[in-house]
Amino acid sequence: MTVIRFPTHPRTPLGDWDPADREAIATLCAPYLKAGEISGCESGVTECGDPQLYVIGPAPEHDCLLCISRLGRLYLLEDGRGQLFGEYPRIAELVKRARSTLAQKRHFIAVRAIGAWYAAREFFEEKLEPLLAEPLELLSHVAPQFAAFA
Amino acid sequence: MRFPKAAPEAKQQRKQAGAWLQELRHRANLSQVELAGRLGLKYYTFVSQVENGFGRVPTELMEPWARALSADPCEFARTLLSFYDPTLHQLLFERPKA
Repeated sequence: MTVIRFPTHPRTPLGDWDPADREAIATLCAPYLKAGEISGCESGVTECGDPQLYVIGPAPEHDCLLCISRLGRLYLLEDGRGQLFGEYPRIAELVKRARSTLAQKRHFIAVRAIGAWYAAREFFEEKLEPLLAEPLELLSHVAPQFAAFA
Repeated sequence: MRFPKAAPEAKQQRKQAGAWLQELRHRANLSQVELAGRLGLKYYTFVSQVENGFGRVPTELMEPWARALSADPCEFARTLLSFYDPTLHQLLFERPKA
């Protein structure tokens, strides 16, 4: 009996990222790094020697926004709270999903910023405007008299 | 392309929490895969993420995580809080002496 040896996919050593994978992830992160929405990426390894890459959020929390793991030929995308976004056979598919996840986070931050701005405006209109209205009215009465004296 | 690293001091507390969790797991004689199985996780990668000091144990997983490691859930959550939010831990549990 002859055993046929199938050609195997060349694998990187345990705990190592393929340079093409690293490049794909670096390209994904580049615009967010530039915008300050990501403070950096760090690599790690599991107990079994599977490589992981952590996308770190901005200061002061430096929370893990995304965690990319490679288990054999499968790529996993999770957030920093263990939510699994997906399992992908190719890094390109993972990058696509990761990009949309980061974009969602960006929108979420924008919505929160708009909410905060409206809250501040509401506070100004409710609390500060009545306080300012009286002195302004007084000033409008007194100003012509001051002008006459000048 | 080289990645800039996150500020080490900001991660210090989470790293310590991860090391503490790993020590508890070793004491319970469990592998990351076995712990993930007990927590009902599909993959063990999140356990690794937390133990490497990047992720946090979510509140809803604190009790099952503690039980899987044969730890008291209350003490487990309190210790994790001291790592994840030291200020809140101080306010809640470290009363100034009268």
